[in-house]
Amino acid sequence: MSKRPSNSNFYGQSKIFRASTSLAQVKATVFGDANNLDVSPFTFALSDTEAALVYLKCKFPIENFEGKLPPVILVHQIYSIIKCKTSVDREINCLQAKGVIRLFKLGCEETALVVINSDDLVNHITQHCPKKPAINRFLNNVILKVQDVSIDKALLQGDMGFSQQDISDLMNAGLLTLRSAGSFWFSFPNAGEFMRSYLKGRKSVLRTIRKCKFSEILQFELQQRKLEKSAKLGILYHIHDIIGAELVKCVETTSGTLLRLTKK
Amino acid sequence: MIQCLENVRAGIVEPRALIRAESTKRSYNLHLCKHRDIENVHTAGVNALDVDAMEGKYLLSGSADGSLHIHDLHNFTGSPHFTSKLVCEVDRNLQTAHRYSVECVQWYPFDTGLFTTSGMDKQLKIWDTNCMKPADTFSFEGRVFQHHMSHIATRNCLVAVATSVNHILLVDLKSGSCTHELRGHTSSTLACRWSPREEYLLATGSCDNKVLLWDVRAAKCCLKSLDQHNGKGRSSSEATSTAHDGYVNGLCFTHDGLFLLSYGTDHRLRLWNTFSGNNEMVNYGKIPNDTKKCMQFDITIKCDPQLVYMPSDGNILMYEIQTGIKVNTLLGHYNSVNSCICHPFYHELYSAGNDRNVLIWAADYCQSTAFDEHLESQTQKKESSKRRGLFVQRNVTADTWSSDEEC
Repeated sequence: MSKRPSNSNFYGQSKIFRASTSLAQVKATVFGDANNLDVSPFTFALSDTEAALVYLKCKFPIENFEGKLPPVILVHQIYSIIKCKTSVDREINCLQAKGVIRLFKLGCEETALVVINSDDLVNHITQHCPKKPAINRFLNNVILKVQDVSIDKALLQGDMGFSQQDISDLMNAGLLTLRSAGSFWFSFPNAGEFMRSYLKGRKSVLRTIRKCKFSEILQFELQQRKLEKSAKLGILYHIHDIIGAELVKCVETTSGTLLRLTKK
Repeated sequence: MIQCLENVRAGIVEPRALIRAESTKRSYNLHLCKHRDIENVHTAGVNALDVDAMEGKYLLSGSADGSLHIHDLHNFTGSPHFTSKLVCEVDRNLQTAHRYSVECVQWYPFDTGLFTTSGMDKQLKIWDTNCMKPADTFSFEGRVFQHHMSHIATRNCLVAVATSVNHILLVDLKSGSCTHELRGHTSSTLACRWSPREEYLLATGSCDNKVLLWDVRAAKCCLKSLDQHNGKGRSSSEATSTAHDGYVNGLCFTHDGLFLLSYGTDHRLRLWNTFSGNNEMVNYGKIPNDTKKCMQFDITIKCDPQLVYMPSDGNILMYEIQTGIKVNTLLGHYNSVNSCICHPFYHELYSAGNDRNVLIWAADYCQSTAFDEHLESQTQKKESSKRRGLFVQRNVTADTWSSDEEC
C-alpha cells in the first residue's frame, strides 16, 4: 500500500524545524573545503545541492582511471539524494551561471548532463591537451565566458577570432564536438572513455537486477556483488545513477531499501 | 480543525484559510471511495468525462463505441452507501449517435440543457438534454480529438475544435457555422483549451510538438509558440521552438488562468507562465505517456499547494504543481486511464479508463467509520429482536404475585 501524506501539517499545527546558523557552521566544517565556501559572510554554508555534489565527487573512483578523468557527476544522480527535482535544477543553473561547475551534454540520451567542477576541468585540460596557443586562448576566453552547453560556429569565428585550423585543432584535442552544420557541443578530453565505462556499468547493474527473482534486490546486497572489470565506475556510482534516472523504484522495507526495476 | 474553527469564530483566522486548509487536506488524501459508486452501464472503454459546472449534479461520459451516459451524482437516499444511477443514455445503435468512438464531451458551461460531443466520425454534435437528440451537427474534414467551450465567454459562443487537419476550427453556436480557421500548426492538432481568465485566449497543442497561444480576435497568426528552452540552448540552425520533444497530448490551465500545464508523449509535464510564455522549469520527472490521442487531466480547486492529477498507463499520479514533487499514486484501474476530472464543488476525483469503469476517489475518513457504526447499530437491533422470539427468558427472582408494572 502506498504511503499516504501525513495529515498533521494542513492546519499549521506541527512546528517545522528551520536550520539555524549553527547547523550551517557544522556543515561547513564537515565539508570544510575552502573552495566551496562562498565569499559573503552570511552564506558561508553549502546549499543542499552543493553538499550532494561534493559527496558524489568523493564517490567517483579517480584511481580506477589513472588520472585520465576528472570527477564526473551526472545531474540525475543528485535527484537520488535530494527529492525535490525543481530546486536541484534551479541550484544547478545558479552554480552554472556563477561559473563554479560546467555542464556538458553527452549524446547518449536526451537529458544526460554531466557536471564537472570548473577548476578540475581546467587542470584536466592543461594536463591532457597539446600545448597549442589556440587551446590556451580557448581556455581563457571561451570556457570562462560562455556558460552554455553548446556554441555557434559564427560566435567562435567572429567574436573570439578562431580560424578554421584552430577549430580543427580544438576538435582533435577533444574540446569541441560537431552538433550540426553551424554549431558545436562542448566536450572534454577522454569523454569517450568515461561514456564507455558508464554505459557498460549501467547495463551490467541493470542486468544483475533483472536476473534476480521478481527483478528486485536489496540495496546492500547489490553493493556486495562484484561488477565486471569493464565497469570501472563502481557500484555505488551506478546505484545513484539508476535511482535518479528512475529506472528502478526505491521501496523502503524493514530490511533496508529495496530496488525494483520499473517495467519499461 | 476544531482549533481552526474556534480561531475563525474569534476572528484570528480568515474563513478562506479554513476552506483552503480543509480542501488541501482532502485533496492530498484521496483514495478509492468504498461507499459510493457509479452504476456500471458502460459497454466499452470510457474516453471522456465531464461534470456540469453549475450544480455538480450530472456526470456525462462518452465511450469508445459511440454511446453516451448521464449519471446523477447527488445522494438523497439518506445513507452514505450509494450508487449513482443512470439518468439517460444514448445507445450506440441509434441513428443519431456517433458512429465511431466519442473522444470528447462537454456540458454547456451555463446550464445542463445542452451538451456537446465530438468523436472519430469527424463530427461535432450539439445535443438537447431533455430530448436526448442532437440539435445540430457539424462535419469536418478530420477526426476530432478534442473540443472545448470557454467557461467565461459571455459575448460569444465559440467552440474550439482540434482535429487531425492542421488548423483549429472555431464553430459559432449562435450562427451555426464555422467562423474561424486558426492556421499555425504543421501537423494534426490534439488538444485545445480556452483560458479561464481571458475569454479570447486559446491554447492549442499538436503533433508537431508545439503549443501555440492564440488571441482569436487578432487577424494575424498566433500570439506565441511556447519554447521549452526559453530561447537558450538552441543552435542557430534550428529555427523552430518546440514545447515538447513529442506530441502534445493534453493541456490544462490552472483555475486562475496564470499557468498552463502541457503533457507530452516525451513523458514530460511542463508548466508555463501564460502571460510571458516562459517555461517555469519545474521538473516533474518522467511520467510515462504512450497514448497518441488526447488525455484529459485536471488540477485541484481551492487547494494551497495546487495538485495535478495525471493519468499515466493504469495509474493516476498526483504532483504538486509548483515544486514537482510526486505526492501519491492512485492505483485502481485495470487498464489505461483516459481521463481524470475534479468535481467543481467537492474534493473528489472521477476517473475513466479503458476497463469500462468510472471510479470515484474521495477523502472520506469520517464517513466510513460513521457508516460502519450505523451498520453495527442496525445489526444489533435485529439481533435483539430475534433473541426475544427464540428463547424463553427465565428470570430467577420472579414470583407469581408481584407484577412488572409500576404501581
